[in-house]
Amino acid sequence: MIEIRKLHKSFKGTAVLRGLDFVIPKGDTTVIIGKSGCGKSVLLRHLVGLLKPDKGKILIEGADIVPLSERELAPFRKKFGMLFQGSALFDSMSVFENVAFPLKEERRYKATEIKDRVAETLGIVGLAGIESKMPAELSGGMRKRVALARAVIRRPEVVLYDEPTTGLDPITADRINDLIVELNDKLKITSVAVTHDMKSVFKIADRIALLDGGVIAMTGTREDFQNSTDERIQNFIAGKADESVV
Amino acid sequence: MKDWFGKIGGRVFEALRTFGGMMVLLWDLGIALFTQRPRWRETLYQFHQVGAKSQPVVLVTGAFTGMVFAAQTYFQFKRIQMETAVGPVVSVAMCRELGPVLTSLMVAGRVGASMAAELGTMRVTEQIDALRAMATHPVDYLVAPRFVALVVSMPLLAAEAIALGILSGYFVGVHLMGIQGAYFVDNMVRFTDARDVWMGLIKSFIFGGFIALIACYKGFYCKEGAEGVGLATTQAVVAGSLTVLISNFFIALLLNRIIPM
Repeated sequence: MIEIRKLHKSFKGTAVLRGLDFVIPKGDTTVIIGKSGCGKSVLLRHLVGLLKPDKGKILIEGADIVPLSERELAPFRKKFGMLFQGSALFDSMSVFENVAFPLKEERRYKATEIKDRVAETLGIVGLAGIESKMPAELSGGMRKRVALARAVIRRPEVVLYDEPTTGLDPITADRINDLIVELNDKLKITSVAVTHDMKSVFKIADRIALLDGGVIAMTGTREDFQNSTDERIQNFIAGKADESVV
Repeated sequence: MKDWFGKIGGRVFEALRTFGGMMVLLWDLGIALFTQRPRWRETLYQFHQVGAKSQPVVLVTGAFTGMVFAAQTYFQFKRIQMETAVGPVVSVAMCRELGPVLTSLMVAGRVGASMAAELGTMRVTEQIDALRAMATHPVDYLVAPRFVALVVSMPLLAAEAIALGILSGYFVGVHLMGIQGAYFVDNMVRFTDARDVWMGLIKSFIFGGFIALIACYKGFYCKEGAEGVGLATTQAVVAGSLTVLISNFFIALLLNRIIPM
């Protein structure tokens, strides 16, 4: 379980998170929604220690990771996999080297084991046989799937998805959504995704949280959000401009 | 007036911040080098990138510097009939100053720029964050191999430049200017000490460390976008080259005190 307590973060005097409290239960897929620039990715980056908050606590299985140094964070980070918005594949490495990277860093797997695991994971994301290709040779959707394979190859307890469908055509986006659901079912992981793609939200989420004004304004199930009478929520779902959502 | 003070204060603050950032990076680098497992594969790759691939440019620099220096000293010494002093002058100058400094400047341009651009691009495309998220410390994986490769390669590259500079100086002095070969070599050996060679090698070792540290720092903390990467690359070359030139004076003074005659 991940617990966030009174999280504050500002950039150059602009407060992005303002005392945010939130609990991410184990085993569920939690999707954080909110307008562009509201701090969704900032929140996600805090969970794995890529950003340090100005104030507040982030408890992972009861341990606060905020005061930890970069080296002390390593054991916690091994529990996570992260899919970055722009995929963040290492462009000087082949697909195989990218996907194998987390396993090679563990230094406890034999070369044959790594090869098999890479082939298996690429198979899960529907990209079997592209090991020798370079990231520059792949389409945006393929890069996302390779990045997804890299994020889950270590069989992490938690996978963080930063805008998993942004920049993809609707069909590829739907495929990524299917993959996220499939991976969660197969690997039994806790997932946290941030997105403003409502189609994606309703397909993958067990729980939805609306980030608004630097705090979690509402949490609930898909049904709670669909049936909400809150004008802000309905406007957000329908994609209508609304001055009340900051 | 107030604006003027504000600008100066801003610059001083920025310089202090950069210096502090570099010290933090140096501290992390120390931890990476002395407490973490060595990354042989990455280090060997960097040896190839920064050492082996720098050889052509360094050899050309060494050769032509030795040649022009031999020719110029010959023209001056001939007026006072001291042509046979060309050998030792070329040799001592190549060992103590020209070899290490010019090699370092060439490497600061070639390697410093590429390191800053590579790390800068990794930064803006979130590749460094991806490394961190996968529990790999970027200083261990990216900075330590580059630093080790450069501090080890630099003395070797400087030694090559020195040797080729002296050889080409000999060629110009003896075969083009007509100095007696025996006098050239005899005087060169008599007036060139091991300390001259040591001084050049120690200097280039230190310069290698400066260039790697500055280039990695600039790449690591580069601003967003293509402009940020471009700026980091330029700054890495300019700051690296200036650091080599300025520190050269102080290191020369220090080494002259440390290494006995």
